[in-house]
Amino acid sequence: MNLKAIFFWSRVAFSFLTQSGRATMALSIMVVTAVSALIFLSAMAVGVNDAMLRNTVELFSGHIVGYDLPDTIGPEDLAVKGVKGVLKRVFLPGVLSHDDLGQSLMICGIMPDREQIFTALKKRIIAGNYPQNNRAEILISQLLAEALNAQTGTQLTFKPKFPSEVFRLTVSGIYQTHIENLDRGIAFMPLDSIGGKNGPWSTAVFLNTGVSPEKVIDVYQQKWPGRYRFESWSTLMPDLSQLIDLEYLSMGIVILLVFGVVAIGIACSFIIFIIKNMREYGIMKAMGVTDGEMFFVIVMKVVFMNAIASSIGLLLGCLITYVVSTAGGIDLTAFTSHNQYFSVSGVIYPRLTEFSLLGPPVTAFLFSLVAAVWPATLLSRKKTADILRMI
Amino acid sequence: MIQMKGVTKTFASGRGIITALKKVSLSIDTGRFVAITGKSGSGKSTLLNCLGGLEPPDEGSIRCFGTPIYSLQRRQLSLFQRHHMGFVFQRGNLLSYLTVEENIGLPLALNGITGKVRLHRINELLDRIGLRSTARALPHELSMGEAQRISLARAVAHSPKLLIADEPTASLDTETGHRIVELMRHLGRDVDCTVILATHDMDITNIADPVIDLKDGQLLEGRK
Repeated sequence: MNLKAIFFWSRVAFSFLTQSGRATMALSIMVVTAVSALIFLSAMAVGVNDAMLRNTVELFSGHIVGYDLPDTIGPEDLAVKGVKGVLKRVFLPGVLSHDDLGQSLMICGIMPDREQIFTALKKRIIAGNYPQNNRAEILISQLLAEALNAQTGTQLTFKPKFPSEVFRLTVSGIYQTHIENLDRGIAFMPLDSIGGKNGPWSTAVFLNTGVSPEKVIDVYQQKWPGRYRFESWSTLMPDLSQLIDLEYLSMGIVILLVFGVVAIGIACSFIIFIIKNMREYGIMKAMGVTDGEMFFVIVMKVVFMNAIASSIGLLLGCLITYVVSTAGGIDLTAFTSHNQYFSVSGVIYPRLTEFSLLGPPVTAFLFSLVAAVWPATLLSRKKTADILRMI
Repeated sequence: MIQMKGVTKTFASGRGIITALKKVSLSIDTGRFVAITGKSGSGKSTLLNCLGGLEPPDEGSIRCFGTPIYSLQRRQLSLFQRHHMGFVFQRGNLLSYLTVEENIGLPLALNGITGKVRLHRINELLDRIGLRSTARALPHELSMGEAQRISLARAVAHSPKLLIADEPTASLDTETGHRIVELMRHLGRDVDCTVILATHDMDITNIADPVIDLKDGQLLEGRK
């Protein structure tokens, strides 16, 4: 078939769709609804993943963790493209005690001002406040407070594992995250107060939304080849990584299933279209329209209908996502309050990605093409005289 | 010349096997205006369908202008129909989603006739059938008589060698029917094509030559 013929038959297909206005409209509504609903659902799936990641990563650990960095490197050296913030931390093992009660733990020296900008731990404080710079204060978990029989204002003693000075600290606040690693075995105090500004330090790197941690780590590795250890959140939290992959997989299956059903609907509707206009196809065959041309016309009808309906569905899906996202998201706190991946907030902000934006329309298009084969085959198998006799 | 040799066609139905055509042989010279008559169920439509390449016979052979049409592959047969044949059926001939001028232009486009030549031919035919004003109308906006005239214009638009009309006047009143047949005769003559039409109307058979009578799928001796 040459270009001229393709244009001609495409025009015939388009005329068919425009003249069959109501039927085309009804069929299009099905595709528009499916595409827009699935774009929104996919955006919600991305939003749920974002929320889990945000809750987990932004609570404390960051997207990337770096270990044993020397004094010669500062947080500003790690602030490459895509990085939102770099936090300096120093870990000190030892025993925290109150009266005759003691607990082995790791003290994390932090820079309270910057921590409060980038982490969400302050939102989990259930009593008291965040420790302040240059004050001998400590932030402990509720479990630790119970174990040491401490409350805000209680004086605690911290004896580091390696001989150095003993710290006398006042409990400034008590937090609860429901995350095992944070609720047991760790407490926070200002970096200034433990004199840890010098010496090896660790880092938590926070990235802008959508930036790949692996790519940022690659940049670090290029900067300091093989010298320092950096790990992304997906390495540190493989369970969360799997959960996110599972979410994408299940969403992909939902898209396929929905469009499988929609495709059958489209195929059935086109069969009805064709049966309704069977005589006209018979007339076309009698005029010498070949099976190939007839097949092309039917496929083009599906393609046109789908292209228009999918475009409208795409716009509608984007619009719904934008409106929901800018209107404060969807608050699912009531369903997530006991979930460790939603420890800070249960608000979901749907977000469009290539997957959520292109998955539904592309799937709709491909499935519809397959759906066109059925009526086209039905038609090409019928003898012209049989078609003309039918109606 | 159109030749049919020993053509038999049967159909399976709820009433058993029905033989629509029994060993029919005939030949029609090029350029004739042929009428096929017979009662309902005599095999007229089957005969026309077989001649037009729409229904392969169970037995026998059919040659249209030297081409054994049922020896052709499906695509070749479609192309043969596209170039050399035109059809008018009793009703529902026009494609509902195309305008009158698009309907008439369809066989021209199929035969690669486009642009000004196509438009000129469409206008010429619309003038010839007196329906220039309906060019942009859709089929549902036409009367039955107008629709049949448009169908006729479309059937001869590409100057086919053979025009097959299966009871084209059956749904029309007598006067309109006669006008259609007269138009068919003249348009057929204009493009020098063989016209074969099935009809019950005795008045129409008077202007046809030859007239082929069918009874129970078999030919009776010709009247002319």
